[in-house]
Amino acid sequence: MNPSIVRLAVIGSRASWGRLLGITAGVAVGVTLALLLGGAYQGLDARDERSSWMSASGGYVADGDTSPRAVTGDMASLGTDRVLLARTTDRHEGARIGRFDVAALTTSSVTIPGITDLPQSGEYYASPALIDRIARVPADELGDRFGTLTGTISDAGLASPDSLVVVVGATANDLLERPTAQIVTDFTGLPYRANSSYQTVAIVGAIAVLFPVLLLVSIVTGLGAAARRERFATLRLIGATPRTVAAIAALETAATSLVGALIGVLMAALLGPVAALVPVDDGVFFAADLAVTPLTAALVVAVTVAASAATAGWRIRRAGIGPLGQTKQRQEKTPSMLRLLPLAGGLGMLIATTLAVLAGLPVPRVGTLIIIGFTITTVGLLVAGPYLTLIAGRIMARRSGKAAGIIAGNRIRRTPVATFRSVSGLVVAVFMVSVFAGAATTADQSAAPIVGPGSLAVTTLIQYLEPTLDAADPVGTDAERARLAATPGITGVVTVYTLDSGDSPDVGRLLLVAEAANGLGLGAVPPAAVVSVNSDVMTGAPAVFTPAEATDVAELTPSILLLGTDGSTAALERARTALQASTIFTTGWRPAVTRTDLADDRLQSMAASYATLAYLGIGVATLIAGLSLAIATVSAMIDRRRMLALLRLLGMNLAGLRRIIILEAAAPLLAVMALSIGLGFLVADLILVGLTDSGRSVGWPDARYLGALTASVVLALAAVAAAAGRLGKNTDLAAIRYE
Amino acid sequence: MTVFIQARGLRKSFGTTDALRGIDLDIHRGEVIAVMGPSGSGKSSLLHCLAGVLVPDSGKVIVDGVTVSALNEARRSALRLAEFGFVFQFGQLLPDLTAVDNITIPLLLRGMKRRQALKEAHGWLDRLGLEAAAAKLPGELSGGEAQRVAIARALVAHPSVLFADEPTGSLDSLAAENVLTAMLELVRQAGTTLVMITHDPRTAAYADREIIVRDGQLAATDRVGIS
Repeated sequence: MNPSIVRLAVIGSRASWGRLLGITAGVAVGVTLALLLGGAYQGLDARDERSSWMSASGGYVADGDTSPRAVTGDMASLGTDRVLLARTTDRHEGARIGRFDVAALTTSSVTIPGITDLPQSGEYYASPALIDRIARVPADELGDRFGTLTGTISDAGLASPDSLVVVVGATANDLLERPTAQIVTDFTGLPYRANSSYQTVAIVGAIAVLFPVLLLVSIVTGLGAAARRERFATLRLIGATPRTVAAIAALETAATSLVGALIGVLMAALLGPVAALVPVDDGVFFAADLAVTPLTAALVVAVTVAASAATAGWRIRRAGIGPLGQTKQRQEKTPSMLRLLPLAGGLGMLIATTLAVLAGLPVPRVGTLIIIGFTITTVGLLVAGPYLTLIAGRIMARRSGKAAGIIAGNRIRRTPVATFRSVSGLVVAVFMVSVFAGAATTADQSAAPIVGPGSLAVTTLIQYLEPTLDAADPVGTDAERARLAATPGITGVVTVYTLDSGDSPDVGRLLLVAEAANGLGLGAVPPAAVVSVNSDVMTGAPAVFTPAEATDVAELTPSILLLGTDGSTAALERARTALQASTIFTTGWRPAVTRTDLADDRLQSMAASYATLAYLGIGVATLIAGLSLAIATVSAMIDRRRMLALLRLLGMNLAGLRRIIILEAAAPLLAVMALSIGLGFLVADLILVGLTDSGRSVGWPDARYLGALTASVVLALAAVAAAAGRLGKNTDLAAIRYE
Repeated sequence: MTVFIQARGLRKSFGTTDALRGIDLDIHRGEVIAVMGPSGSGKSSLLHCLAGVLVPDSGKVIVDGVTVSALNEARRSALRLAEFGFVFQFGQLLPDLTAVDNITIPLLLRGMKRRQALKEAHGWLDRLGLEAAAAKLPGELSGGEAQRVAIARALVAHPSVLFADEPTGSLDSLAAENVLTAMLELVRQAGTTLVMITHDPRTAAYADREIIVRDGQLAATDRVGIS
């Protein structure tokens, strides 16, 4: 092919340069986002893999083991190939700290990623973020919990620069008292086994975000299609074959896409460190986590260039451009009702699964079925979109009494597929955000601590005790209790007992000394030496006291220690630190918590932890979709400038033309977005009910949802308004009079 | 007859090309004018200046006492809607609308109810023998049918002036004859002024007056045809 012909065919005018620049910029944005998304996907995997050592587990210490390998209070019994590990979650000012107490010989061959030597009793290694935090607050609020800082845990052992992790040295004796202590032989080389649901959800999410990116690339490569068809018609007139014309179109798009894709790679490399600062799932990324390998980058570039070139060539061949121009106007095939089938199928699958679960029928792999149903519903929404757009167009064309409505309605009913394509990104984004927001409402509702009269204060520390342990005094010595009570900010120390067996009505209730009960301020306490209270008072239910049958707490089992505080953060943290420095700490399953901490634990559920990621992804998808809508609107306007200019000639003013453009975007948006919102909440409800079997239902969405929805609408309006702002120039009568 | 359109000293350039070089012209109400001349002589520029599509670099156009060239775009749009109709050589129908819907557009733009507009449009289709084509899209019409629909659309709102740029240029002689006859009959009945560009002397022969434009100037203006 003669390069001169290609040059003339491709870059013959200033408008052509504008079009090529538009394609290049669009592809660059698309590739940048695709690479950053790919990097984020890899990054999430990488950081989970780095922190996989935290999941190390081994056998529990067997009581009465007399074998030569039995672990005893003597450190030597561990040998050099074993350590004792007690894993707990500590807290400071609402943040969760992964605490790993380790008893190991100095000669131990067992290693933990990120630290050089295992700490000995009284020493600890901490992550940089935790070291900063320890340095920031008084020692009695945090630092005193761990001992002497020996070293820093390096990045190799941390999920994120924000990770709060501490490895604390202990003696075998210390840890043998802990019910959670395990004998561990290896922390390294643990295979990271991603949760299959997580992977499926992540893949679905990635597709949902990648879809608008691909849409953007598809839309920008079709920019100025009408002008290009005219240029190619001229080439056909002077003898170029259809194959030559298709080849020129493919070559032009390939070259432009290549430049755009390379710019995209460069932008992704530059923006990677900035994107790494976005917190996902409780922490930002290390910059290296988001770095895409050269092979991946090369692959993305190659696929983008090949796909856009092939599409361009195919589009031109399909357009049937002859020497006198396009042989016929491409009439879209009218979408039929059959397009509703995948949507109905996906919803049917979700409903059937949920009903089966509710009916108690044995349903294998409920999670997988629900994810498949969700995916089919999402795809179904995209498949059904053109049909619903057609219906909206028909109604508008039939019902409208204004020229703008009739013109827009007829345009939509003739081109429902193309019309829906321009808004499909936003529709998917709104559907996704509705599903996640719907699911999150339940997480929030169930997570929020109950506050009200008779409820245990959210600033009271609850230390659960381990009654089965062979401890001399599981609630600590009087001296320790006195020390706790004397800690500044602690307003009271109350022991709560249980009655483990017997016929007494107090079995299953909590018992406490009446005087102590009065100190909790939970309401009226009957006159008795010992009173009982409903056990769900620990989860926020109002307390109802009754006189207990027992009259002496010495006959009862101490189960919980309550530490009332003055409500200040410092007092709460001092109380935690004081508890951890006492012998009481070693008898508990885990460090003391408040009801707020328990609520926070529930928020860390899978669905809730995905919420941030989901909102982030949806935010990106919405932005790209808005950009795509703007470009698609401008592109459609440029391609129809003659028709729009004719309307101006007939006397329609610019406001009328703007109404046409806005209606053409608004009709499918309103028709399908309304459905997206409704379907999103329905699907969220089905997923929740199906997965939890609890009959939970979604509630009102929170402010983030309304924010996301408003952002989508504003973006759509801004996109269309930006496009409509160019109407005057693009429909200038003088400019089109020779067309 | 009263002068309805006055052009005085019209000049218009595109880059270094002078399309109009000082044209003075009076057009009377109800007059049928044929504008002739070689390609590139300035015929279309003259028509577009008269219709307010182009703003002359100098000189002025006065329609029924209103100086068109002094109006802003919004007012010129309103003037076009109220007073002018347009017919071009081809490609002037809105491709997504049926023939009848195309005809209703000027009426709807003037605020007429759709039901009434459809009734009017069907009446015009009937007058032009196009009732069977009412529900057809422009792509499904023959060239002659499309031009007659365009004429119906141009005249449905009873404009004072119809501007036609080679209205039969893309038609075979029989279709051209039919279209021209229909158009002339309608404008004569309504007393509409017609300014029509044509290359064809036979078409020009139907006009009351023939204007010849050459090199952006009026070369001749003759009263020729049937009045």
